Amino acid sequence: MSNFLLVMAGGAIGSLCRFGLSSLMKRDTSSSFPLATLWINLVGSFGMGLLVGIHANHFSQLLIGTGLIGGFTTFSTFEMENITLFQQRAYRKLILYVLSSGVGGVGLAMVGLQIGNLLIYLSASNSGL
Amino acid sequence: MYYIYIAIFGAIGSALRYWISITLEGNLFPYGTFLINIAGSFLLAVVVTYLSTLPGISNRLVVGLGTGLIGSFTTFSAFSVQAADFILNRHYVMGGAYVLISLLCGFLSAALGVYASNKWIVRRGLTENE
Repeated sequence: MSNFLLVMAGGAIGSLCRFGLSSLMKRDTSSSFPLATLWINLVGSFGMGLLVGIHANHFSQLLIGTGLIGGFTTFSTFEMENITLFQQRAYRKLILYVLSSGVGGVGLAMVGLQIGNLLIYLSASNSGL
Repeated sequence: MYYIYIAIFGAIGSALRYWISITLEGNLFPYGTFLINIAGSFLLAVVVTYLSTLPGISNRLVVGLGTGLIGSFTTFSAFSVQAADFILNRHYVMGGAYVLISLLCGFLSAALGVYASNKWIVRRGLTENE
């Protein structure tokens, strides 16, 4: 039960951050390119990679990982924005958006995982001295 | 006021995702996240395209259900990390297939949601005119 409460607390904060950030960015830019969701998903992919890479404890994985970052990033809005770009026949923007999200998201997750592993390795070798 | 809706629905969306992922997550392929993202893409399309046109549904509820519940239910970060994990473990084909299938099925699922919503809107218009 407490697992669910951790995920729910993180999910509430993550959703609020996503809503706040995308409202702010949409107000400041007139471009039809969905920059807000792209930033959110890229930052979240890196953050989740880092969290998994450092082997964060169960508490942090649920609150920050599954809850906060999981609720912060979104797949459904990304797909709806793809549909909107498709309907607007903005095919170049659509391809750019899909590639930057897919390649960028997976790439940054890999970087996060590797940095996390490196941090674990460094802290282990330091404590061994 | 919007913030309360987003927070409550966002909490529920994340809890549902957690519940499904601990129930369904496979050892080889991340079925849980895949199904969540594909189903969520369809549902968000229906909320934005159909539900928002229904009388008596406030904009707050649409934002709560769309951005809060479904936005938080689906996730991009877990998807990225699962694909990155495949690649770092040299399962290149699995990683590539997971990314391509997720992106393609998500797009088709959202398109189906928009298509179905437009059908329902037309049908509702016809019955109201009878």
